[in-house]
Amino acid sequence: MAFQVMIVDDSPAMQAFIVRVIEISRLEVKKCLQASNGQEALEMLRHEQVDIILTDVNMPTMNGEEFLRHLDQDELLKTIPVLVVSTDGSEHRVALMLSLRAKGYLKKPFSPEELREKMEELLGVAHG
Amino acid sequence: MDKDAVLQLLSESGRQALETMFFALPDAISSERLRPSGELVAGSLTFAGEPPGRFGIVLSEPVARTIAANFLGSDDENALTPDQIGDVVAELTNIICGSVLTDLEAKVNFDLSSPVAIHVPAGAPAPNYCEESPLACRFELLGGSLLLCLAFEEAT
Repeated sequence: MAFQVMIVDDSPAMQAFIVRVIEISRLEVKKCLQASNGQEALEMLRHEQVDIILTDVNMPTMNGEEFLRHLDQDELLKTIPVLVVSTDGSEHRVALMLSLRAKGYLKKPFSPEELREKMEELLGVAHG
Repeated sequence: MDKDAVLQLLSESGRQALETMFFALPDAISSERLRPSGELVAGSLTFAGEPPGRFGIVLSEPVARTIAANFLGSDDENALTPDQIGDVVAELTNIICGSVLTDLEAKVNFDLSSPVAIHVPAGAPAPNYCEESPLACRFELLGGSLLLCLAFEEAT
């Protein structure tokens, strides 16, 4: 099964890094959608189906926390697994994002292997 | 705040970020405060929290170009634009600062501003982020060096 992935990050460099990690991983991905904030991501999700969302926390227009709150209010979107990818690893922030239904939290810096393993875990893909 | 402990964190967070996400292995790490020379790229941000402060990095342009190529997976580092290099330096600034602050005070919420990166031609005045900061760390890498400077303000 090939997955559709959404990356939500205001840094074009970070988006490119994640896309590259996904490309060189063994995950079967047919499409990587990229949004620069939560608002843009919600607009894209009106027309596109995705299997997993990777989102940053600190972003302009709509940050990761607001984005998760919006997802949680939508019966369809709330079922999509969300992995938070952020430099902010404070206990408060991690607990807050997980309480808003994020399924995982990956603190930067992370290795490509760590990102791949987290994605496999959330997508229910067996390693190997 | 124990200065030696913060310096240790600065050096460890910088090394870890460079190795895991930018695929650059420092040859040496020191508390030397000397700015790199020649053409430079600098990144900076401020943060709110207890205590608030600012963080800056200054890199030799060849080092910035190499880590940008590594981060973006580019085979030709000479094809990268200044904007692409600046975006990567801004991300490096964000990652190292966030990592240091989280490891320093995991129970404190810090809000980081968006990092800003600038290019400094050789011979032009470069920002001196270390001027008011006792916390500095310098990495020697192939092609030049990278200086990190962290400064805390008095909490209000």
